[in-house]
Amino acid sequence: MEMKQIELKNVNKYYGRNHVLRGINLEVEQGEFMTFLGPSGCGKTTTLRVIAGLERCQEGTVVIHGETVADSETLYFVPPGKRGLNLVFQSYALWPHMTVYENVAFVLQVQKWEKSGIETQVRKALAMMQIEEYRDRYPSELSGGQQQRVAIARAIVSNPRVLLLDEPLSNLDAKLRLEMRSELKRLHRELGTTMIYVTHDQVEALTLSTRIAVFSEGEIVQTDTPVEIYMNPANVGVARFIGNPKINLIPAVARPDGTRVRVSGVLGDFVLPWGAFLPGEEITGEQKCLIGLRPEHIAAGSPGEGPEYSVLTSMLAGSETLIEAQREGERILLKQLGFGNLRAGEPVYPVFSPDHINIFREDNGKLIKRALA
Amino acid sequence: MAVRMKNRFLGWCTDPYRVLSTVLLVILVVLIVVPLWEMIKESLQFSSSDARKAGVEAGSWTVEYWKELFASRISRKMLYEPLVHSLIIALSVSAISMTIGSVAAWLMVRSDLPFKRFFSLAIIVPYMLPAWCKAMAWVAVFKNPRIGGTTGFLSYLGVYVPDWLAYGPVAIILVLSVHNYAYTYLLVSAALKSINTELEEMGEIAGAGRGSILRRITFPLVLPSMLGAFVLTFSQAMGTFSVPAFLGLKTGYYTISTMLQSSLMQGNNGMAMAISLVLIVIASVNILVNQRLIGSRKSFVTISGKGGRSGTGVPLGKWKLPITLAMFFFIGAAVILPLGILALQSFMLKLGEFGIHNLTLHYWIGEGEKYIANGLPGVLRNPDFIRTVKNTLALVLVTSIAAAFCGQLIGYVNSRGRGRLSGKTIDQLVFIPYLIPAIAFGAMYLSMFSTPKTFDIGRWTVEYFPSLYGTFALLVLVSVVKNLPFSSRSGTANMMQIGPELEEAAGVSGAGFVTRMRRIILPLSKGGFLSGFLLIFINVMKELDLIIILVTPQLKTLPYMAYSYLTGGTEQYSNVVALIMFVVVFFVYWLAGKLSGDEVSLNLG
Ligand SMILES: Nc1ncnc2c1ncn2[C@@H]1O[C@H](COP(=O)(O)OP(=O)(O)OP(=O)(O)O)[C@@H](O)[C@H]1O
Ligand SMILES: [Mg+2]
Repeated sequence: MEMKQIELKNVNKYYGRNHVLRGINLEVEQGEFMTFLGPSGCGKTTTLRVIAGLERCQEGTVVIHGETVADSETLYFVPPGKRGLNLVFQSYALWPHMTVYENVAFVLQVQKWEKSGIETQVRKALAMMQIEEYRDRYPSELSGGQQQRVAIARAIVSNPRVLLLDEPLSNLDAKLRLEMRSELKRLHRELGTTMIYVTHDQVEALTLSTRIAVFSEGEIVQTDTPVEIYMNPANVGVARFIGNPKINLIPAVARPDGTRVRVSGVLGDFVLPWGAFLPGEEITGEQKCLIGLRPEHIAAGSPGEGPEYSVLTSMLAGSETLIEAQREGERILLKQLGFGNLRAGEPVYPVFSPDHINIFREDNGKLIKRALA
Repeated sequence: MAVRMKNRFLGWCTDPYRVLSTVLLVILVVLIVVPLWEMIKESLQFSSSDARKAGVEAGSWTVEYWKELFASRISRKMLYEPLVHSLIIALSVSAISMTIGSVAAWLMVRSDLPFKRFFSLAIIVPYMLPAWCKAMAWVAVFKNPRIGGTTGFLSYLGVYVPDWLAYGPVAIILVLSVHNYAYTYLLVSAALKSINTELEEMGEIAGAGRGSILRRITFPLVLPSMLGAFVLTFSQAMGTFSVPAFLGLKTGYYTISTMLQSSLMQGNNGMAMAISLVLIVIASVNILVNQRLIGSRKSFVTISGKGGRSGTGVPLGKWKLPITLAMFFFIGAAVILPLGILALQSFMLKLGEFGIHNLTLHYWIGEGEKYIANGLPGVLRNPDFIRTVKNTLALVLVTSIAAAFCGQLIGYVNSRGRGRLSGKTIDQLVFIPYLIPAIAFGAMYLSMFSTPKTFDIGRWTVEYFPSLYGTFALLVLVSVVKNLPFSSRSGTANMMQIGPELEEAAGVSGAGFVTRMRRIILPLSKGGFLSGFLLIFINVMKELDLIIILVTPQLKTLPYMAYSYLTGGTEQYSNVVALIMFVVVFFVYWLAGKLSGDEVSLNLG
């Protein structure tokens, strides 16, 4: 069994009267690449700072590597430097009065390493980030990407057990971001360090992480693997947030029909086995709901195969075509491989497999039917 | 060819930046370089009386004054001793103020010190009170009977006050330090605020202790500002006249600035100018050395923007109580005590008698009584006072508006002219008044404007400077020019913030120079204008050293009035005037804060 590296239990944080973290529970396994994903202002940075010890939570506990480092009950807080972790800020926070070498060596000097040991360790970190040639430059003499590498080198030089990264790529241009993304992936593979990574770029989250924690207004609404989050978002909010193009959410009504459940709406009628619904969310009466259907899971069928929609726009997006169509005022988006030849106003007949759909309750937005892979 | 020349000329004339910078350059040369040159000339020419004695024509060239100053029997008394005194004072004051100011700045910006709102206001109050008011309060407390006259508070209580504490260098250094730490405080706290707290947090994550973070991260980052504050404090302390005059002259402790003033009083202008030039040279050397030290470091503070979250700040832990008490004690000694003493004395019929029966409102609102100060009425009933208030307010308002406006203009040229020769020259020129100690600056303008300055072209005599001595205009002029370094700094910082893109965007959409100024630059620079205005307002309102040798009785200002009451031996009147002055300054500061919606920063750097 793998060791829990980080555990947050019921962490609450207030800034004055502003309740910023609302009962965060989180477990991160050793060697994981955990991503915090969520819109701006939802508490990602704050959670990271609570883990790092830069911020004290008013309720809850933080355990790192089996050792309690923050317990608000007893007001016991281990200082940041003693938690065996390191951090990369969004701003990089490189010390402007120190050279690259001095920046990276600082931690080791504080930890009272021997001079020769510092030299080799720093050189190793600089080599890992491919910035050896800049060792005597000041941060102001480096480009954004180079500064970012220095910040990472500084964070990894002391072999921390946990590496916290707060939107480290957000200041870089698109090309450099791609490059640094694979760099981070390589780093994670080579070091095996547990990483917590904050971003509001979902592509970054989906490609990098072993697991993603989705934040919303100070709470974690779902913690799962990228595939699971994409396939089965825990609620409508997560469903809307993840995926580009956006998921289709189509209103429908589900009602029991003998031993099965009948779902009807604009998309037409179809039946699902009674057991398709999550335990505790079985359909016993009429239930208003939203059908979640990813555009790539809809195909254009031949007449009669599906309900008739009329095409609004057809947009070529590289090797695929995005078609937006409408029926009874409800819009739907479907993705077709190749170059579509549908014009505006022409009919289209979307077909899909009931296996691929998510169903959410309309009242509280919770997922009640999972998609089957 | 002719067309080309014509177009070039037209292009030059219609480039607003060129025109503006040329006009500014000419004005600055006339107001700064020419007076400096006049000063040098005066130290090298026989005055009319000396010329008569030497039997030569007035105005003939000589190095007599310089020789007398540096290599004669009186050199030791005239130059070397006062110089050593001044250097001791200036260095000690700079060291003490830098320590107090930086520590206070750190506590206020970075720590979880309680009562920050109160402290943030209280801590800059000393800056609103003229230095000589504090010297007066010092005397009121520590005066001992040996000097004669009335007794101080401590002596009255029967406490023996040694001479070295009552007068002389220790008293001067302490009083000036309490006055000057505000510069360091303002500069360093601005620097601290601009440093991203994440830089310090990274130190925490690395496991460095508080002391180590302070020493290795925070301190190097604010060092440039501290050195800047050192320069400022040093040249202020070198050139200050009133405090060493109060606390030194009675025991014969001369500094170079009191020596300068007494030479002027004796009509020994050539000598006075030579002394001023010595002062200027020292100030310049100090600045050069500092620029060397600051060097490339200067850019640290600006490269990392604001960020991080200050939260509650660094916890002081078990030091919280002692530090808070120390702060209260300091505020008590530096702010409340001097103000309290001024207030108390203003109600005392006879100084030195600290009893209830001795209290009176006479000096505030009394009618003239023969046996008190030759029948001088209370200040608020004195028509002379009303006139002086009007005069002062007029001077201060005109000066601060003019200076703040010039500051913004110079700031505009500076920020848009980076790298151009004109921009750099203006930047350097504007800096010169900063080098010249206030009293020397006053002397310079006196020598410049006491008689009309003319030169001859063939048969014509052109008067290029009228005699302005005794006019309101001269006071405004000298105050504006002396304060240009401050106002142009704040203007430059302001214009840098606005950034040329905003203006260019308007230019692209077809707005002309005037429209751009009116619609874009001026509205955006309102905040900077206000803080520039405020700084100058406070500076000019309490200014004495600069104008003391230029003021005539009709053009008295409040500080001058208070000063002349004081030297005339009617201290209580002087206290009343000083208090009123303080109230005005404080009120304006408060009002500016209200108007601008938040804390007005007295932007020094
Ligand atoms: N020092 C502070 N005082 C008061 N409120 C704060 C403070 N710092 C953050 N907050 C509030 O806490 C909430 C969470 O902030 P946090 O920085 O964790 O968001 P985030 O998820 O990191 O957002 P972003 O993606 O924009 O970085 C925000 O609503 C913010 O306004
Ligand atoms: Mg954040």
